[in-house]
Parts: sequence; structure tokens; C-alpha cells
Amino acid sequence: MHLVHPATLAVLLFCVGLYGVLARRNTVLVLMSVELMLAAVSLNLVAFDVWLADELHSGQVFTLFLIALAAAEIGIGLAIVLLVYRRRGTVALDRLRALRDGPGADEAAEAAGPTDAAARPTAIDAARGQETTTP
Amino acid sequence: MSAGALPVLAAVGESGRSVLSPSGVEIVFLLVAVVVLGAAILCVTSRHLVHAALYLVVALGGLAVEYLLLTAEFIAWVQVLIYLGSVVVLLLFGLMLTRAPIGPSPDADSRNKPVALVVALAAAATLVTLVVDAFRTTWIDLSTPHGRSDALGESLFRTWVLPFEALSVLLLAALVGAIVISRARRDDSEEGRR
Amino acid sequence: MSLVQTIDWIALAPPTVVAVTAVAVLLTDLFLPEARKRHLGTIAAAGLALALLTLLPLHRGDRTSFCLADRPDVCSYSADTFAVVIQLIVLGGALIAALLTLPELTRQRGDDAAGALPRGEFWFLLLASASGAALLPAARDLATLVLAMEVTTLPAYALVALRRGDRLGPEAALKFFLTSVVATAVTLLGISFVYAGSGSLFLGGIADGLAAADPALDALIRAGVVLTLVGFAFKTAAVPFHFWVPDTYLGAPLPVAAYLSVVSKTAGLAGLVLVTSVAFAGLGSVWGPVLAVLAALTMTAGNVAALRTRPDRDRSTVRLLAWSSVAQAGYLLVPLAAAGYARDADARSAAIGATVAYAVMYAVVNLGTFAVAAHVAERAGRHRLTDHRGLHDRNPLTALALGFFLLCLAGLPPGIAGLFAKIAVIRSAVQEELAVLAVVAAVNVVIALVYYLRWAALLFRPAAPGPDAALPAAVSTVGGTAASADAAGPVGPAGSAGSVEPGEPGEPGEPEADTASAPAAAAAGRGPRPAAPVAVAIAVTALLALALSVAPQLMLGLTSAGTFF
Repeated sequence: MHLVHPATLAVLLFCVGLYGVLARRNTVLVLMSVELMLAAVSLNLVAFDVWLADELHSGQVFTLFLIALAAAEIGIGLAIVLLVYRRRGTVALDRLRALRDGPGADEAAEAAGPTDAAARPTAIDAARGQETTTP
Repeated sequence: MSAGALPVLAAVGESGRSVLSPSGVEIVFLLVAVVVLGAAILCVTSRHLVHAALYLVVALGGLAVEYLLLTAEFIAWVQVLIYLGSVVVLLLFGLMLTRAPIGPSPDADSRNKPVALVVALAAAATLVTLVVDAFRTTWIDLSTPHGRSDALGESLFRTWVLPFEALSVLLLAALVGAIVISRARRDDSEEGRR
Repeated sequence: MSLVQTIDWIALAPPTVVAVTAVAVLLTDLFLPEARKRHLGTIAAAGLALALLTLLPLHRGDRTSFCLADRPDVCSYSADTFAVVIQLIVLGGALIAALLTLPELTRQRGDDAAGALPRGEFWFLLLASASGAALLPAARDLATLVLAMEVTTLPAYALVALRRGDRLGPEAALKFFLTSVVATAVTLLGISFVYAGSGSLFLGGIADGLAAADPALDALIRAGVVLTLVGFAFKTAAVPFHFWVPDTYLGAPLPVAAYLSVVSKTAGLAGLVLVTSVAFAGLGSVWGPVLAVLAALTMTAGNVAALRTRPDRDRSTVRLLAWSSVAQAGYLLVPLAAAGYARDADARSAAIGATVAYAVMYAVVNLGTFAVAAHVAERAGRHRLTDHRGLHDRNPLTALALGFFLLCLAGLPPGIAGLFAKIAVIRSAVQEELAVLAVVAAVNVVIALVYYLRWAALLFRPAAPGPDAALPAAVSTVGGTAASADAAGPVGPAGSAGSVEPGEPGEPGEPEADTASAPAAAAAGRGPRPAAPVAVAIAVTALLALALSVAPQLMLGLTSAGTFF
């Protein structure tokens, strides 16, 4: 097999994942895109390992470690996402602005506290409202 | 750009192989690659959150088939077990617990879409050119399987013990960290009721 | 052929002791009743101290472990001089961060109270992260290196979000996590390209493989080298991968921020050194310029942002320390960039030595600054720079220590340790004829003087006489012209909250305890002494900084040729 095939597939998959990380707003979707990037790197490593016929199997063993690493990161990542959801009522990345530097940041941080409960129903209502208005 | 598609297409390796006369394995690889890429693109562009997760399943499953074609059988099955079996299941749970709507979600994509597209296309163009230029006349020899479980296991426990043990600490830390963060507290549920 | 690798337990002792202590703490947490849980901190600190002691037999730097059966010179773990020095910094930093957390943990009312940190899990996560950071400098293959880097940062995500009921912690942890994971993915892509070019994942094997690589793979290898630097540059907080730093430090508990600023940064730096100077040794023409540009941008961005920090805003101390640590990362990168241009192994070793020496000074002094900030925040609770005003009247020794640390960070006498470290850094750039970089570094030293001296001057200013006195306009002029007008706002209603009782500990998360300009304090004279572990931390770091100032050859000896690689 020509090495270009798996290598190009891996690179294209990586860039698709990169697009997802930059373009997606929902944090869980961003996590999915990161998984695509890691899977792409794994493909690269396996292909190179088989091509090099590495007697230490470095690429494939590293891929096994990467798969386990991806699982560990998704575990802790989702735990953090759930914590943010519970405290802030939203997982949309551009709504989480309490920590930004700048004149509005302190007010945003103050607002993050008491209006947590108000924000959550608003997010769901907004979703429902927009669903009914879009044909 | 001196490296283009033409030199790759025209290159002929030893034993007269060239990209333009693919073997059966290559044809299957390319077909599955189309499926994988298509599913991946749909995963990052779909506005239905659960559909995105299911497209991810297709993409990762397709990758497992690619691993089998590359004779890396152990990796293929680990990919199915862990990526499909646990990672995607976790993602689906995450979607469910953050009340992802059934049907299109309005907050799936941010306003950065055009910028993201430009960045991703530029990165893809650069990297594909690099890769195609580098591997113009390199073929993988698939006649002897290189990813058998016994060979991999032997290598893992003879040469790679230290990173293996580091990985065990990593997994334990991830486990404890995830559990301690997601322990629900009394005042979290009180806020929800208010 | 033997079935197993030889394990040299003495060489492996530092990370192993820390990891075993981590599990021991977690198990002990199961069996201890609530009343006795304060002993967990003692066990954790004792484990870290023991790990520091196990560094002693390794001082000769010739032990290796986990070597290949048929090639005993290719090893996964090497306890050489570089590894031992970095392990010293990392374990010492973790111990000081542990000391800073102890008073807070003894004060909280159980693991589930508002603003509390669950003790068993906190110690476990801190020790797990420290074990990864101790493994990293001794790792000699990319798999161990990348995994050690992840073991260092993954528990840190949880540590940032650990405080119960905290508003900012979860968001900070999310941003930290997302940016870190993306950086790791980019690094791994680079590593896969390098693997294709060199055929090996062992650092020595990569160097040999790249030297004999197929010329058709040249561009791919260069791209791989640059991409690999991304992840480690992220952990060292180099521009443009520094955006997570202020947000994360602000949202995390203060001892965790101190830990991140020293241990995580040192681990990232060690990773960068190993990857550039060992694996990519022959490709200095590729990574040298990249690191030089990163260093220049990092120093400037960090210093400019630190200048703009308003001293009276909530958490301004942490914000300033975050931007200051970004700038210091820039100084740390300058000798590494110089190492890329080095003509021979001796020059490269000297450049690496300059980075390591600066890292030693930075670790000691930065931890000391965080320790004093922790003490001040214990009283006033809002982490504002203006809370430090008049510290000299309340705790003269503490104020002197902080003044000394700030002068070391700025690089002014009598902070001789900082001065010599900065000289070593700039000299390494000059020796490799990186004139522009040296000039940028020197200019940045001057810029940084402004905000360090501004803070140091605050310490010796007398405490403001009353709540309606406007905060000293002189304090905020450099930062922002409108600052004095806004300053009167937040201080006014809060400052009249009342006097401070010296014995009463401030509770975390209750801003009403603000007492920065309380008149009673001036009347009472001395403020409360720092809690015992914090006092120990301040004393230890102050003594170490003094030792480095009085005998700078302790750290400058690392810059002699032939010490590293």
C-alpha cells in the first residue's frame, strides 16, 4: 500500500477535527472534535510503524497509550463539563465569560453567581423558542 | 510548488507499482477512507447533537477497519473496545446530562465558522502538501502482519514498561479527579430548584 | 534474552515514592474519621520530604533504568544531573505548595462545606501530579515524556475545579482543559512526523535517526519539530499559548496557582529542553529561531499585561503574578533559543545551564511571593494588591521577605540571585550573537521593574488612615489614569466593614471580611502572624533566596560546560 493513503487520511481527519474545535460552540461537540484529532494522530503512528516495520513496535504501543490517554481525558473533561453545566446552566463556550480580563469582567463574575438558576431555564427556553420559529 | 499530485501519480516504485494501479487492499482502504472523512465532516458540521455523536461512531469504526487493513489487528480491536465502547458512550452521556435537545440545536456552532473554515483549509493544504511530497515513492509492505497481539504484548512488557506504569497513575488520577468533581452537592440542587 | 527490563529502584525512587504516597493518602482517607483527617496533610508533606531525600544518592548523576535488553545504552529513564536538578525544583515546589494549603485545610469545616477542598482527593491529585513532574525530566523516550507531561497536567485540571461551590473554578478548569488537550493533540501530530523521519521514539534514537534521515522527508521533519514544540510551549505558557494562564490562576485556589506557576512550568521547560537539545540536537537551525521569537513575544506580552493590572481590583495579586509568570517564562526560553544556535555541545550545555539556573531562582522566589500573598489573603480575603499596603507595619519580617523576592524577580540588588540569573540569561543570548533577543530581554527587565517596584513600595507605605481616604493615586497612576476614581468605589462600602481581630481567620469566599485599610490595624500595630506552615514556607524560600544571593555559584555552577548532555 502506498504510504500516502493513510498519511493523507490522517492529516485530513486532523484538520476536520481542528475545524470542529474552532467552530463548535457546545463544549461536548468540541470534545468530539478533539477525539477526531487524537484518532487521526493514532492512524499516523500505526501507519508509520507498519511502514518502518519497527521491531520495538514503538508506533503501535504509543497508539495504545494514546487511546488510553484519550479515554482518561474524555473522562475528566466530561466531569468538568458537567460541573460547569451545574453551576452556570450552559455549556456554550461563548457564554462562559466570567474570567475574562477587562472592564466588564468583574460585573460578569458577579452576575455569574445569583443568576445561575435563571440562566439554565433561559438556555432551554431559547432552544425551544428558536425551534418553533425556525420552519 | 514543486511537489504536486503529478509526480506522485507518475512515480513508480520497485516491482512496477504505482499509485495509479492500486491493489485490492488500497481500493478498500480508499473506499473506507471516504466513509471516514465523510462521517467526520458530518460530525463537525451537524446541528443535531446526537447525530454528531453517531457520526463519530462511524468515523472511529471506519478507522478500526483501516487498522485491520494495515495488519494492526490488536490496535483495531482496542479501538473498537475503548474508543467506540467507552469514549463515545461517555460523550453520549455527557450530551444527555447537559440536556442536549433532540432535533437541531441552535447553539451548536459559534460565530467563528468562517475563520475556522479558513484556518482548517489552510492547515489541510499545508499538511497534505508536506505529506504527499514526503511520501512520493514509499510503499508499505503488508505481506507479513506487523501488529499481532503476541508481538505487541511482548514489546509492551519488555520495552515499554515505564510509560505503561505512568499510564496507570494517569488513569487512577483521571478516575479520582472525575469522581470528586462530579459529586453533586446539596447547594447545587438547591440552586436548580430556586 | 531476558524477559524483563532491569529496574534500578534507587534511580527511580523520587517519582516512585511520591506516587506511592499518593495512593497511601487516598487509602488512608478511607479509614480516617473526620476529626483525624488533618493528618493526611502531614502524610503528604512527609512523602514529598522523603522523595527529596531520595535525591541524595543520585547526586553523581550516572544511574539509568529501564534500558533495552540488547542495547543497554538506550534507556527510558536516566537520573543524570539535569534530571536530579529539575526533580529537586519540582519536589521542593510541590512541598511548598503543600505547606501553603495546610492552613486552609485545617480551617475548613469538613470536606463538603462551602468553599472547602476535599482533603484526601486534594492530596492524592497534588501528589499524582508531582510524581508525573518528577518523572518527566528523567524520561528519555517520547512515550514516557508525553505521558509524564499528561500525568502532571491531568490532576491539575481537577485541582483547579476542586473547591466546592466555587464560581470561577469550574470555568477556569474548562478553559485550561480544552486548550491543553488541543495543544497535546498538535504536539502528538508533530511527534508522529518526527517518528516517520527518524524511526525511533527514544530521544537518542531520534537524534541519530534524524541525522541519517531520507532527504525527501526533510520538510516533513521540520514541520514535525515545530509542531512538537507547541505542546511543551503551552505548558511553559509561551505566547501565543499563554491565554489559559490568567484565567486558570484566577479560578484556582491560590496554592494550586502557585503549584502551576512553578512545578507545571518547570516540567514543561524540562520537556522542551529534552526535546530540543537531545532529540532534535542537529536541527537547531529549525527550533532556535522559533524559540527566539517565542521568547521575545512572551516576555513582552507578559510584562505589558502585568503593567496594566489595576491594583485595587479583586484578585489583582493573582492576576499580576499570572502575567509575571508568563513574562518569566520568556526569560526562561531565551537561553534555550541560544542553545539552538550553539556551535558545539559545550556551548549548548552552558546555555541549558543558564535556563536551569534561572529556573532554580525563579522557583524559589515565585513560591515565596505566593506564600506571602497567601498570608495576606488569609487576613483580607480578596487577593488585592492594595491589601499589601502597610504590610511592613503589621509583619515586618514578612514584608522584608516579600520585598526581597520582588527585587529578585525584577533583577535588582539586593536581589542578587535574580540579578545574576538575569545576567546569565542575557549573556547566553549575547554569546550566540542573538543581539536582538538580548536587547528585547534587557528592555523587558526595565519594563518589569515598574510593576515589581510598585508592589514593593506598597509594602512600606503606611496603612491608609480611614475608609474614606482615596486609595493612593500614586499606586494606580502607572496602571491606569481612571483607576483612582474607580478605586474609591469598591473600597468605600467595604472598607467601613469594621476592624480586624488578629486571631480571627478570614473565611474563604466571604468578601465582607475586607479589612485592608482598617483603622484598628494601625492602632493595634502588629498584624496576625502567618499560620505556621505558611511561615515555614516563607522562611524556607527566603533563606534559599538569601543563600543563592550570597553564594550565586550554587546556581551559576550549572552553567559550566559539560554539565548537561
